[in-house]
Amino acid sequence: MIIPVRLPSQVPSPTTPLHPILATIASNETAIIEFQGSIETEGEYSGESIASLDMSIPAKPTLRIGHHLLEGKIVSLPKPMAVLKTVPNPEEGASSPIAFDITAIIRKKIVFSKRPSPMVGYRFIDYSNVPIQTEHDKKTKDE
Amino acid sequence: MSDVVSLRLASQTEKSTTTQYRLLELPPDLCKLIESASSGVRLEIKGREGDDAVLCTENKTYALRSVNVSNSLHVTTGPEDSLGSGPGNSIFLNEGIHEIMEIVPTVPKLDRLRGILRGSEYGEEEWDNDMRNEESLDQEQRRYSRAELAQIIQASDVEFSNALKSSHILELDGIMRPLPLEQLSKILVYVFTSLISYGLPRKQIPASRLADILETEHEVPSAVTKQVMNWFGSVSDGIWDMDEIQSVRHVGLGLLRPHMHTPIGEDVLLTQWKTAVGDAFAHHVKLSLLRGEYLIQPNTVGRDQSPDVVYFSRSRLPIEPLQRFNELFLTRTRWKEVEMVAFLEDIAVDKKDCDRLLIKYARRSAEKDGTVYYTARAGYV
Repeated sequence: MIIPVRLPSQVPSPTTPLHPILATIASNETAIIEFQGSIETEGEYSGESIASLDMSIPAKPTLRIGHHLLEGKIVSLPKPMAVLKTVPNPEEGASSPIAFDITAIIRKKIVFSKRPSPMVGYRFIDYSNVPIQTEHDKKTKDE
Repeated sequence: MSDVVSLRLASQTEKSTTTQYRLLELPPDLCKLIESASSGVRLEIKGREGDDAVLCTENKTYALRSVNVSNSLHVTTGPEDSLGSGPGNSIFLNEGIHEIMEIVPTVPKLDRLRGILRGSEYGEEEWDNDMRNEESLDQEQRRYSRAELAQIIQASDVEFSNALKSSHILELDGIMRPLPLEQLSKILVYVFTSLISYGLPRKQIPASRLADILETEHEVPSAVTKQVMNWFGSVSDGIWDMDEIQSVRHVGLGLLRPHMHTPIGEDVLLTQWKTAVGDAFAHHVKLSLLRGEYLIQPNTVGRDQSPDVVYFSRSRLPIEPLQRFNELFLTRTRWKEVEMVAFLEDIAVDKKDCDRLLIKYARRSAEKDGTVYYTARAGYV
């Protein structure tokens, strides 16, 4: 069996752009985010907003999920990583039904490895528009 | 634009339509190849179900390994379909990945070649044209075309082609047939004798003429001769530029081959060998040409006659290092370094790899005069 692996130059570019705040770590509209835990969902959550990513301080990306605030950092990968996407094999009559497309070569990722800290003064509001002030914010931000 | 975006989960409909991502760690040389490539470069993952997969470029083979990570990695992309202009205010998280694939350069896995083509060998009884028909082939034996073979052998295209050449596999009527050493050796001897009897020029041999001579005088089909010529040199514009050393070497191998269990004196072998290739080529004849294919019987060294030699080919040894070392130490308990290295070169990628194998599987000791010996490590044999 031969599974073809198509290079980025042989593959159509992603049609939709990735938000520019991830520009420092993204390549070809793709980025990698790493968590120590895993995201568990109950029920159908496709397309739903689950968190809010704040990159206003580039060295300290933060993620708000529910009542929690996670602090992360941007880490360079020791070796570049290729992102392979499984696609149906474009070759007719080939031995393998699938093929891989290399969609991007990634050199940096965001890792959220610290314990989440609970946020005080939490209010249920759509994340993407309103910055939520916390005790932490009151001490360090001046807005 | 805001520095805060909403993180959304990428759509997770039925498993079959879910976008499956995998991550592959790239060594620098491969990374450069992938990034700088025009669309000409080809990468493939090869293997049968149940094999450990390998990744092949056009000329190199890499073993694929999977490493589990406890954290979860998420490929993050923009929205799946452009619902307007720009990325909106969201990024999309795909499913967590807990496994990273690594690649390690490896020797191509060619051992399967011999086993798979067993039963398809091209034998002498087929040289007679009257007998060359389909019924003479064993009907139950699976036959392989070159393309079918390429699907199964885990090697890059260039390494595969080189292996077919060095394993002397003929392509006749679309089927791959190995040419056994005995027949090959005979054909080469016919070549040498014909060159002399017909006075053909050594350095620029007319290919078709030679093929005709072998067909009429020795009943070797010209399709076979032509392929043999390509294995031992190159043919261009009808002229064969023969690789004299390799041709001479294979005649020697053919003479040594029957002596797997009954030794032959070194001088007897060399004399027979020189006679077979003729005066013009006799200067190439020396035992070191057969490196990796013979052993000198240690109890015969240093007496008045020349030492005895037996056929012992590294091509018949196991490919797995542990088994190979077991086999080597069963044959002899103590090996000189230079002798042992000759029997490791086909499974080591380079000298460093060879040294690594020696350190791992053997115990080194040095004599006062500086000769290095290897013996088995306790617990391995």
